[in-house]
Order: sequence, then C-alpha cells, then structure tokens
Amino acid sequence: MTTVWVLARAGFSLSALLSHAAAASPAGRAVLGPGLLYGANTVSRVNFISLSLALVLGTAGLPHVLMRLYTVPDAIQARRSVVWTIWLVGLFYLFTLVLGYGAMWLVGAAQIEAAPGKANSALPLLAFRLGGTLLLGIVAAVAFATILAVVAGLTITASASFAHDVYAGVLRRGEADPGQEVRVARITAVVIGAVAVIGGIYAKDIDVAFLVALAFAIAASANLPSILYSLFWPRFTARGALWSIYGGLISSVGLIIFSPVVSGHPSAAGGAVPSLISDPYIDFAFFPLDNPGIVAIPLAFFLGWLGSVTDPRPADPARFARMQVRALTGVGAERGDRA
Amino acid sequence: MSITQTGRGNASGYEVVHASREFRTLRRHLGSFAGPAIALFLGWYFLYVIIAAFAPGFMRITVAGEVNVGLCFGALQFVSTFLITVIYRRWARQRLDPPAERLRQRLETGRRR
Repeated sequence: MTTVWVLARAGFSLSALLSHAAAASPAGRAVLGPGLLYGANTVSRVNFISLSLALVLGTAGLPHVLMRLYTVPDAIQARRSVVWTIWLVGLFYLFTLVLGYGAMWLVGAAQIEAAPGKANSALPLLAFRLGGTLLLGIVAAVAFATILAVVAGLTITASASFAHDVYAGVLRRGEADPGQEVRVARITAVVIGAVAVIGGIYAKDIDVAFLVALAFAIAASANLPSILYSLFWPRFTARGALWSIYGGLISSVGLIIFSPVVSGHPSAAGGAVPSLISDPYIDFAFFPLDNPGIVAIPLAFFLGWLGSVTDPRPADPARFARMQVRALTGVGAERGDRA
Repeated sequence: MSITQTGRGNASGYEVVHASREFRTLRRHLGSFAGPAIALFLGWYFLYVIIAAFAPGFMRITVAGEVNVGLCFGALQFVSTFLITVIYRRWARQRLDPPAERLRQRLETGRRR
C-alpha cells in the first residue's frame, strides 16, 4: 500500500520518482547508480561481492526458515510453500526499491540521520509523512509482528536444539528425563533472549540490512555446506560435518569480530558503517571486509570436504542411501491426508 | 515388511532402493535440472554483481527517463527468479513427482505387495 502511495505521489512514473529522489539527496544523481557505498576502492568492491555471496547462499541456510519445513508431509507441499514464499518475498523486495527512493525524496537524508535508529527509521518516517500516525502505526505494528515471528522461530529452534541435542544427547548421554529437558529448553530460551536483547541494545543504531547480511553470512558458512553435502555427496562423514560447521561458524563470527564492524571505525567515514566499539583507540580490525562471506563460505565447504576425505572412518553408505531415498521420495514422512 | 517398518534394523532395504534403476533415474532427472539451473542462475546473479562492482559506468547508462541499465538488470534478476520458479514447478510436477510417488507407495506398502 505504501508502495502504491509513493508511486502515486510521483505520478506513477518510476522515472519521476528517481529524479525526485536524486534531487533530494545530498549525493545527487549518484544515488541512482551503483558504487556510492561500495565502489570507492577495490576493498569495498570485494566487500560488495562478499555481501552478495552471503545474501544469495545464506537464504538457503537460515535455521528459522528450514525449521518451518519440518512438518511438511511431501515434496509437493514443500514446493508449494517455497513457491509462495518466493513470489511474496520477491514482490516485497521490488517494493522496497520504490520505498527506499520514496523515503529519500519525501523524508530526506537529514531527517533520517537525525532520527533514532538512523537508517532504520526511513520506512517509519516515510509512512508518517504519507499517512500520518495511522499509517505509521500500521507499519510499526506489522514490523513488530514480523520481528516477533522471526525471533520466536529462532528462539524455539535454538532452545530446542540445545535441550535435545546438547543437554539430553551430550550431557546426559541420551538418558535425560523429558520433564528436565523441557525445563532446560525454557531456561535456554530465556538466556538466549537475554543475550540477544543485550546485543541488540549495543547495535541499535546499526543499519538492520547490514546486520542481516552478517546473519546470512553465518548461516551460509555454518549450515549450508553440511546440508548440501549430506544430501548429495556419499562420502560425506560426520567428521566432515563437524569441521564444516565449526569451521564455518568460528571463521564467520571470528572474522566479524576482527572486522571494521566491531572496531576501528568510530565514525561513518566515506559511507562506511560505523563500528560497534566507538572508542577510536581500540582497533583490532585486521580483517578488512565488513562481511566475512567471501572467506568463510568457501572455507566451510573446503573443511567439509577435507574432514571427510581425511577421515579414517569411512562414510556409512547405508545412512546416505536412507537419507537420499527419504529426501527424494518422501518415504517415512507423516502424511496429512492418508492413514 | 515395508521399508518404514523395518527401520534401522534393515537399513540395507534403503540401499537396495538406492541402487535400483528407478531411483537412480529419479536422481538423474533431478540432477539434470538442478545442476544446470543452479550454474545458470548463480552465474547470472554474479554477472550482475560483478558488473555493478567493476563497471558502474555501464550500469549508470539511462534507458528511459531516469531508469538506468542497472535497474533494468536488477529487475531482470527478479524476472529470472520468478521464471525459474514457474518452470521448475511445472517440470517437477511432470517429471519428478509421479516416479517419486510410485517409489514411495511401493516402499511404504511393501508388506502388501
């Protein structure tokens, strides 16, 4: 709705919208072409490629999305949900193009920078400018509901994994009392929530799109290689999986910690994102890129391969056969419609 | 006994299926679509990324009013995504689902064979 409104303001001409936005922006027509944020030098170009890699591959490794496919009875249903998602999300991304330029034009860079949350306030401010407090309220409510859904999904995935796999599987060697397991899951959910809230407070002014790209990079490095290898490579072993998951996770998170995202850039110099630690004297950023994707993702794939081929214990062909047969035919999944 | 009933005790049941011609054909069909499709769309996507990063001047060329090549290229990325989705869905319904369903039926009701 907001998209249509913005377009209407521009006389339903995309071209007019773009020229209004360019006129309003301090960078002028440069905002219409690539390179303003990521084109200054080779490092920022590589940054851009790293970001793109993380975004495209990370989508396939997001835990809260994968989790929603657990209850699907067969491939047809799974495909249907994915197709719906592709259409809805794809269209939404197209809308954000109009919304972004609309905000640039109707709200203006100065007002956005001055608002709490900086770049994150662009859409709410646009809604306010177009439809007053009513539209702002609706947009804020929808955003909040979406965030809650995602956070709930992630919290459940994380606490269930911890309680079931770490607590019951490892700490109690498969002998945990179910009541205890549930209690552990609840405690984990609270702990994860608290950590996330504290982290969020520190990161509150960071551009959300940027943080999302980091999350995608972690998902693409830690999760994706193992998923693909498990489904399609018969020689993949548990050791390869461990190496890939740990390697991907440690390298992506580690590189983020040692990147300009966390230290070294106290102010937004040259369009770069300001660091988490704003003291200019603390600088341990030896990794030059904002996004670890281009390093961590290939590394995780490599480790998955290396861990498997150097494994003294060979892969179990029976398990692989079972995995592939179940994956391609749906055998063993509970059907909703048949007995 | 059907394959799901024997469970882990007869994991080789899955191996038999895995080696069967029907299953291998199914897997080959999937590979023949997925492989080229993935190479194609990833290549197309990274073409977009690399040109945007290293040839921004090309992307800034205007096509109609203020709409430039970059925007069109980006829009085409969306078009290709939707196209692949539609094509895959149709193809899978015709070529993947019937044999997969047949295999599944046979495996799950093996007892009544």
